[in-house]
Amino acid sequence: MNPEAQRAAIAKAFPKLFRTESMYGFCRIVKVRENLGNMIPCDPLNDLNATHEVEKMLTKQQYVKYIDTLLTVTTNLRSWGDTGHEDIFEMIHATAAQRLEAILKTLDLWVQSNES
Amino acid sequence: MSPEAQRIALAEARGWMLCQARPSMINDKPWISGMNPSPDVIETIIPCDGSSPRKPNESDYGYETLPDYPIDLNAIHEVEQMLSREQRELYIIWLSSITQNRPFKSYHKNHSDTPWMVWFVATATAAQRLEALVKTLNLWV
Repeated sequence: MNPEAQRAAIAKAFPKLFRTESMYGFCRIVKVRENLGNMIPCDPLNDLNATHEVEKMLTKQQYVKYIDTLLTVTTNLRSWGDTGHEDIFEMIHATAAQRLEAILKTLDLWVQSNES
Repeated sequence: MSPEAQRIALAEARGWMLCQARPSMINDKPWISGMNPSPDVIETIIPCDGSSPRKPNESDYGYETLPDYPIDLNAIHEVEQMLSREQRELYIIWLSSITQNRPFKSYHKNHSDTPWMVWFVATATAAQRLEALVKTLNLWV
C-alpha cells in the first residue's frame, strides 16, 4: 500500500481527526483541531503525535488486535512466546509509519499491492 | 520533578547548554530555551540595513526553544534511538512501572505478563516516556 493510499485511508477512517484538503493542486492531509475551527498540515506517516491520537480512538477490542499487529510489523514475530526486551523495545520505539501500518491492518483497511 | 525540569534535564543530557525558562512574549507560559548543540546551519546572513550579505559567525547563533519532550513524541523518539542496549532494558522497566503505576521491579524475559505489560507501554504518552527516560539516564532529582 503506497504512502498516499495510506494517508487517504486513515483520513477517511478518522474524519474527526484528519481531513484531506486540496490546495494549489496538491492534496494534503490536515489535522482537525477541536474548538479552534482551523486545521494544520499533518502527516500521520511521519508524525508520532498524529498516530498516537489515532491509537486513542481504537476500541478495546481493536486495541488488542493492534498490539498483536504492531508486534508483527516491528519484529516479524507472530506470538509473544519468544519476545525478549529488544523486541519489546522495537515495539515501544515503533515509527509513525509502522504504527500507521498496524492501525490500517487492525481495521482491515490495509490493501496489499505490488509496491508494498 | 516538574515536566519543565525533566525537559531541561533531558535536553542538557543531549548537549543543550545554558537552558533556562524566560518570560514568553506571546503567552503566560515560560519560554524554555537554551543553546542547541547542533543548530541548523546558517548559510548566509542578509543584514536588514541593506548592507552586503556575509558569512555567519558564532554570534549569529542564539537561544532556541528546547525540544518539547513532555508533549512531543517525535522528540522523544529521537532520544530513544540513542539508548544503549542496557539502557533500553532499563527504560522498558521504568516505562512499565510508570504506565501501570506499579513499583519499579525487575522484568524477566519470559515474564508471563508480557502482553499485558506491552498493552500499557506500547502507546505510552510523551510525558510518561520523558519520565522513564529521565529515570533511566539517572537524571531524576
